[in-house]
Amino acid sequence: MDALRLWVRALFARRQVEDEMRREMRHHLDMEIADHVRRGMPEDEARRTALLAFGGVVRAEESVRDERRTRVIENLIGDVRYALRGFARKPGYALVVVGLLALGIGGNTALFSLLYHELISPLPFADGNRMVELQATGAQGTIMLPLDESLADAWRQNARAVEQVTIIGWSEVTLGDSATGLTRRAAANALPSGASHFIGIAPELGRDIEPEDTLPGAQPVALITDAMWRRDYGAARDVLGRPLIVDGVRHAIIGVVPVDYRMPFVDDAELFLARRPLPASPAATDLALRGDVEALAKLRPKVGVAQANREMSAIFARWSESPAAVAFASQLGGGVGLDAPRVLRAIDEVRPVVREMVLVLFGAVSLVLLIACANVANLLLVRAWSRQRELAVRAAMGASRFRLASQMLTESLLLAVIGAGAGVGVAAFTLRAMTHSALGQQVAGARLEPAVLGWCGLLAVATAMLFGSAPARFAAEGRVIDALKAGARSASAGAGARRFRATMVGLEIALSVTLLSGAGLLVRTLVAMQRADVGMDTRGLVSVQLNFPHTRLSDTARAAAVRNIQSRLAALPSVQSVSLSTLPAPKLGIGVGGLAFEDRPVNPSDSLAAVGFNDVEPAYFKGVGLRVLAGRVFAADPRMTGIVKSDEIMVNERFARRFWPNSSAVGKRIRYGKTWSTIVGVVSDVEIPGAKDRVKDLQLYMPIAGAPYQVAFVVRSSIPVSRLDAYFHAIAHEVSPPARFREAVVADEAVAKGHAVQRSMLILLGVFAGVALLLAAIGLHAVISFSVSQRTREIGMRLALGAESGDVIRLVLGQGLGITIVGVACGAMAAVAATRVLRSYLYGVQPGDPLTLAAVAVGLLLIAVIATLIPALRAARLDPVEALRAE
Amino acid sequence: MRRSTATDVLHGTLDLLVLKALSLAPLHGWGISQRIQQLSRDALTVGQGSLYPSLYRLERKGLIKGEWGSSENNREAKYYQLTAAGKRALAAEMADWSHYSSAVNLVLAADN
Repeated sequence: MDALRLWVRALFARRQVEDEMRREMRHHLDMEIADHVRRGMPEDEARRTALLAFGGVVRAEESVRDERRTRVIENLIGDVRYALRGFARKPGYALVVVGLLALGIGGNTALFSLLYHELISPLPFADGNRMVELQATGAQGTIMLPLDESLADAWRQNARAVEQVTIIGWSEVTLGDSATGLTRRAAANALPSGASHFIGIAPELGRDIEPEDTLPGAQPVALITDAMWRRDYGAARDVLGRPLIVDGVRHAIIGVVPVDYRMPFVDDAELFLARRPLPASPAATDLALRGDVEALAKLRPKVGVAQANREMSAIFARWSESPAAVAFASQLGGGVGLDAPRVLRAIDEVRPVVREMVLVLFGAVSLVLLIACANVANLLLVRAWSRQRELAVRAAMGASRFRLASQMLTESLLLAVIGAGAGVGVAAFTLRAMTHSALGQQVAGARLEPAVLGWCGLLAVATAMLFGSAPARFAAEGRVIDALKAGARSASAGAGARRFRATMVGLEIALSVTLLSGAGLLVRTLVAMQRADVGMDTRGLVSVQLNFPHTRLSDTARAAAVRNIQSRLAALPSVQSVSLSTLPAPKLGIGVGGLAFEDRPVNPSDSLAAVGFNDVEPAYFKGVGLRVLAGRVFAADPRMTGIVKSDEIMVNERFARRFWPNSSAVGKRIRYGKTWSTIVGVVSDVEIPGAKDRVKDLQLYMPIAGAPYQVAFVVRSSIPVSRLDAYFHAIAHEVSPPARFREAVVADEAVAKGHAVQRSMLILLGVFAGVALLLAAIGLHAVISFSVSQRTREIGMRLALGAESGDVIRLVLGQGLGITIVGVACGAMAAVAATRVLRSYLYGVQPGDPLTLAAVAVGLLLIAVIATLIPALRAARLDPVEALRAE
Repeated sequence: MRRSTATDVLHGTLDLLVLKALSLAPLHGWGISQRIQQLSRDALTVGQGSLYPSLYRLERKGLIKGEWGSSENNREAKYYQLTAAGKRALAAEMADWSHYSSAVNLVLAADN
């Protein structure tokens, strides 16, 4: 305790402690002198003898100071003060270094927070790593089948591998009163009671959905999101109990949920309604009411996905024999079989694309940080060089090499810490910019949390070691002493330091080439994507869509309503064509597996191939601009039912070529799901570049049912989408009030969405590459400028001896270009290897594309010429007399 | 580096000597050096260059305690006195020392 008290006192009351020490020693000396005088010595001799006996006051004081053990910290404080004074003397230099580091560290920290969000931090749900989805798909690939309540019950009662089976619905609803006309569309989730407990996030205001809310006849209730609460209700606390009209039904608001209240696997929603179990009687069951449902569950501890899959399939097989299942299947129509469910683990499925992309970008931003470090190392080295006299004086006054080196390191560390502090600001800004970009939805959860700030601090220390070691070693080199002896600024840069600096700049150039190549490849990808042939004519193509409730209209009434709406849409001015389709153009449904052929055996890869499909009317192909390459268009399905039963089918060109490379596909019979169909025609391929679908290769078209439950009117017109959608709503509302609308899809926008990942990646990578290029140019410029100032005398001599200014420019340019060419060559080699990580994002161009590399190399050489030309021209304009006298 | 003039106080024994000097009464720095000189009959001189670091060291270890007071000629001086821990340490170190020195003496006698 005493030790700590004394240590703290020595550190913080240093002046007092020092004063006491001096007083004590002076007292000692005085006593000694008095003693000598008492023994009869003359006063001045007594003093001399006493001083002699004391043996050096300064040394004694130093020994006591050593004993205090505060030296390390005092040195550090001294070093920090010294460094700060130095920065204040040359604020420009300090600002540049701090700016470089803030850029490098900030960018890296921002990407790290994404990385942390994506890879390291667990899913933001209770038991996130055990969260699974239980998928039920139709064998005919009819996207996700509605889930029957009895199947969910079977899972709940019999599953031992998973627990807490929770059914969550998703649908679009209309909010507001149609009487007042103030309505808007919103996404809603239907939750069973206990869903909040399931995801482990509770309402921030009000209460959760309780079991009694889901009983038939209960007062309908709604939970709203924090965002909606703030926007629509001004964050009023008395929002609880207020009425909210959802699809014409009065709901009571019972709570507000926080921003991160999201259901895994389910699209984001603005409000959450209580989901009621559907009546068990099949006749009363309305498939459309179910909307899109997802069955979520948690794996029990220590249970694997494979085990859960086996169990769920077994339960499914037993269930499919039950009367409920038979009734369910008959409702779906005889043509649709049911696939056994698949169990998907949330952590494996959530945002894999973004995950990979974040890794790539993190790599890129780390290269930028490396470049920034190389630049800073160069700057510090130049500064250390210009301070060699000062260093030499300090060395002569007894500062050890260790002290000098640690002084330099302290300076580096200080710069890095200040840079990291500013970097936090840069990171916050970068994150903000990114959440406002196309990436936003996926990265919304990333923030500067403690672990991320810890990473930032770690970066500060690591970068300080990285860029600070070179000047520290320089300071510790004994050669500095020579500077004093030479007594002049003329001590020319040592060959070692010069080579080091050139290497740093070469490295910067090489890294920039790598980053620029990546950005260049993405540019070419986007150009290729924009030029690519989607296969459809997407100009002015808009799909407006609706669903019919399954029970409210007879098949004939539904068929009549569809025809009526179609002809009224077609009668609108400037509408060229309207055709019917199940899915909005250019989208296709995805099915996996279930293909079989009558005339050829099915190999496993074929039977498991992903197939894109759509149910359309015969006029669709002409309407969207697909060409019939062989055979004919199928006939319309004349039967008035909601389910497709025709046996005519059309395939795309790739499908035909893959399975019948040497004969015609027309007339062949294939099975998809449970029904056999005859191929009557081959149409051209639909291809949306960049879309991560697996529907690119094989595409199937079947005739749309005569009385479809779900239909998209694919309209080609010059009417803006909002007006068209408004007309459509008015017409459909008049023709068939129970119809429920889905969002209009603009074909061009759907195609552009396929480029979104590449575009946002290009923007980020482009920014990083631009920063890297700028840094490399600054670095090159600094090195050449410094070298020119070092060689002032030599250049003056050359000029005096008759060299033309052109010779001098060539001399300086040659030096800069030498470094650049080596850097570009190394960078190009690195780029060939490094751009492979982009492979899955590229389209129409290969990693290591020679044209891109050549363009980057030429561009860099041009930049290098500009960066070098400035000091070269300065050198050429030197007055030889001045130059020779300068030193 | 020379620590004292007459005879160097053997490294490591200075702390023991200081503790012993303080065992009789509180003293200031000069008093301690005088006491050691007296007790050793002028055979040992303690240099200030080692006395004051030693005092600081002992204070840090909590064996002695320094307090400012007025000295015989009415001047301010820092007086050191043994703490309880200091008394225990002195006893222990004296025992160690006698054990050690008699052992050294035995060796030297045999060598003779």
